[in-house]
Amino acid sequence: MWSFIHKLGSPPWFFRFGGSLVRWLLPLTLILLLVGAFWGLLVAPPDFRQGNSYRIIYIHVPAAVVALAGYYVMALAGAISLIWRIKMADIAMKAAAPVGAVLTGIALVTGAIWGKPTWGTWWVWDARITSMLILFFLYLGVVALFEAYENKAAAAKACAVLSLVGTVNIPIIYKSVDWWYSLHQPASIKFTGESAIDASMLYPLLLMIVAFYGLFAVTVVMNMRAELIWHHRQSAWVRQWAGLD
Amino acid sequence: MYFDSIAAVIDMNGHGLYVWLAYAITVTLLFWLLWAPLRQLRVRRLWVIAEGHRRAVSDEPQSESAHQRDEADKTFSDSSETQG
Repeated sequence: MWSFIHKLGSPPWFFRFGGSLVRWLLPLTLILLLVGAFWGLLVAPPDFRQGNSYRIIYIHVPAAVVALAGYYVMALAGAISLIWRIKMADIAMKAAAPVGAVLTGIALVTGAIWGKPTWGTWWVWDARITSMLILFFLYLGVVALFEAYENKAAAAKACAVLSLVGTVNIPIIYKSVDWWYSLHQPASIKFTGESAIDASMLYPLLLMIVAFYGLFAVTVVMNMRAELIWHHRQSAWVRQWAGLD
Repeated sequence: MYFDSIAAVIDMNGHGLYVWLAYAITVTLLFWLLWAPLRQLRVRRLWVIAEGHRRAVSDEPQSESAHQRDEADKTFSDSSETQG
């Protein structure tokens, strides 16, 4: 176990490991996405109140769930970077930020599109939606901070601090629908107790959540590989990978 | 299968525009997420190759790799033009 964690810090080892991980996880994720989307769009029954517009749930909820979880991944990488000064953690943080931003963007845009036929409006400044918008800006902030500094170590430090401070927002997003009464419905899937969603609608949703987790992992690892090559462009292993030596 | 025709799938009882628009935007963004690092890796590999040839030429001015270097430079500058 410890030797595996130790190996993760080695750039050439991680580059090779990431490559083989992507080779099997990417096709698996794409298959899960296709099956989940087909099931949710065409097989699952319509909602008795919202009709077919509810089918947006199969992309909206997975994107939002993984965007929140992804923020913890980024903040954890930030904490590791600050405490142990591990370069690989900086690279993981930099790789996760744009993926999280896109997923939060998807959650916001699909939510707005779903809101129009359901609530009669594209946007309301309620607690859940506003805190998700803050999450979007936090992700963008980390992306922008990395680009703003010439000194990469200083950039990583600033991004780690921003990521850690931003974690305050995550429990607020989770609990916003319980703490404030708003248009946004409370959570339908519960870890304890019975879910407020029928099994025929729940299974494709769970499948899509798993698929989005897979997609997050694949894209973060792919971004990390591209970043590793650039960081170590003068190294012998990179030249060997490019077919030079 | 819930729907009984292609037209019903497209229309979705009047919600088709919202549902398909949401899915189209999502597919486009997810495709970009997967494509961007692949393209970045390809461009950076070309950079490493071009740099390698540049070094080889500066080490051995008479070497035959000058032509290869020019080719690699050309490929790299072609691909870096599309870089965002």
